[in-house]
Amino acid sequence: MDRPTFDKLALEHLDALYGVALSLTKNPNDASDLVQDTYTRAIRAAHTFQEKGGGMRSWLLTILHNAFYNQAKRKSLAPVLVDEIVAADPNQHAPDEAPPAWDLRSLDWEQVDDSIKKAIDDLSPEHRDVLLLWGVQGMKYREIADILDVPIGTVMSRLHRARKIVADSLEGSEDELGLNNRRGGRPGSQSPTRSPLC
Amino acid sequence: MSTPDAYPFRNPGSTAPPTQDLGPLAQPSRLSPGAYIRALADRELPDARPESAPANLPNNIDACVTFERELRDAVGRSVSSRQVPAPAELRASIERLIANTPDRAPASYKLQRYTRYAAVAAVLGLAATLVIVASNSFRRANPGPAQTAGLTVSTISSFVGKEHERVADFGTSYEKKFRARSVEEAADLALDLFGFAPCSFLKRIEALDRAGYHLAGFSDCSVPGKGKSGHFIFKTSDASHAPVSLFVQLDTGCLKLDGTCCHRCETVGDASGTMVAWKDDRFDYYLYSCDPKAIEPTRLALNAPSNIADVR
Repeated sequence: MDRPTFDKLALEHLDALYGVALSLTKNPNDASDLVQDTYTRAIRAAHTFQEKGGGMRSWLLTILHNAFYNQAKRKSLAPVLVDEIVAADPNQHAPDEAPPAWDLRSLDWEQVDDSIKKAIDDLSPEHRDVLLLWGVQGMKYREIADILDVPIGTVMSRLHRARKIVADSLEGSEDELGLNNRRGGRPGSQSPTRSPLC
Repeated sequence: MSTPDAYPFRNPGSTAPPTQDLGPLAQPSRLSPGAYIRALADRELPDARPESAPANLPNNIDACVTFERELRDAVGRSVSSRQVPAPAELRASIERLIANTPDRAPASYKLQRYTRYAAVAAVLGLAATLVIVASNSFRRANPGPAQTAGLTVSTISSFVGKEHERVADFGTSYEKKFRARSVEEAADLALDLFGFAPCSFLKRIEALDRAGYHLAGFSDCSVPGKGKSGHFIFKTSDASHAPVSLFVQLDTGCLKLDGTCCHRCETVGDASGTMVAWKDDRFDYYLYSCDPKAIEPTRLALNAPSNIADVR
């Protein structure tokens, strides 16, 4: 890829990169520094970029996460999540349950934005990171695993936990909004409040 | 594929085509019901046939899948609606960085790193000698109570004064020390030195440029103290004013600079000039020139604190 094309493509993702950097650092100045770092490294490695797989966006996000987590490691801020020990073995299943099946006709998703945002803000950085790459950037598990350099099982495990926390936060909102929670809403179906499999 | 090996920099995923390693997704029947439903909702399953599904799925699987998809949309919507675009200043800075960085060939990069290491070794050795000589000179020029243990502004000013004078003629010493002569090279070197390339450096370079002082070089340095340090040197295009040096050092708390004022120190002896020191965010800044008239406009351009405390 020639440099002008690379430069144009790279700049198109600046806003998305800044958004991810802000969610990681929680500080606008640190986010700007992280993005500046990212582009400095990316331009140095421009000759190594190949347009395949996740494309420029995934490539830049990988560099950004590299820079962020290397800094965090230097500051000894990178905890090891215990549940990832289980997720690392694909033959093992973490304690798991099916998600609650809300009656979607009763749940106004527009009304729960604030609850969702608060629940996301309260997540640990590792869980928030995966959730935002999945929900905001729309990435596949494989892409997320490549960016974060973790196994797909770890991505699934973190995503499960993050989604559960966010979904649980809706239970409180649903009560506040006075919505009717009829679980398992199909006629003749079982309607467990929790999966019998947990 | 080669990647810069200068810093912890994992292969960014473009080295090879995406692998077919799907991990747990390769065997859907072995997933837990919850994991299967989520993967199905996310369209991640390579084989979504019912016969490949795990046992004991709930009967309301369609509602579960719909819920998970709605949740994903809601996460995306709630975060995206609150996201702000990159600040204009950052965008401008990145655009300048892109515009000013030439194509780099991998072979020359390794050569640059080798010569950089050699230059660093030479500077460190010289800086160590300078510190010893400077401290001895200071004690001879200022007899009095013995220096107490710990770093002082005066110690720093003695060092920066000597170091500035050594290179301010832009002769051989300058050529050997300053390998980074442009903004993008300075950013690269700052990244290597500090682990990040602060926007604040670029802002300061631009501010001095507007004041008529153009970047002539950046180098790592060995300013006394525990924090890593670098040395910027600036000159006017017509040499109408004396050059100025701006030393930057990661603040480790040793010097205990007051972030609300500048500490001004006159150096004496072989390097006669003025140094002004202040702290901003993560760095200590030491501005030096042999011409006191160059200090005030550059100090103001750099947005240093307006209060000044003289150090004796």
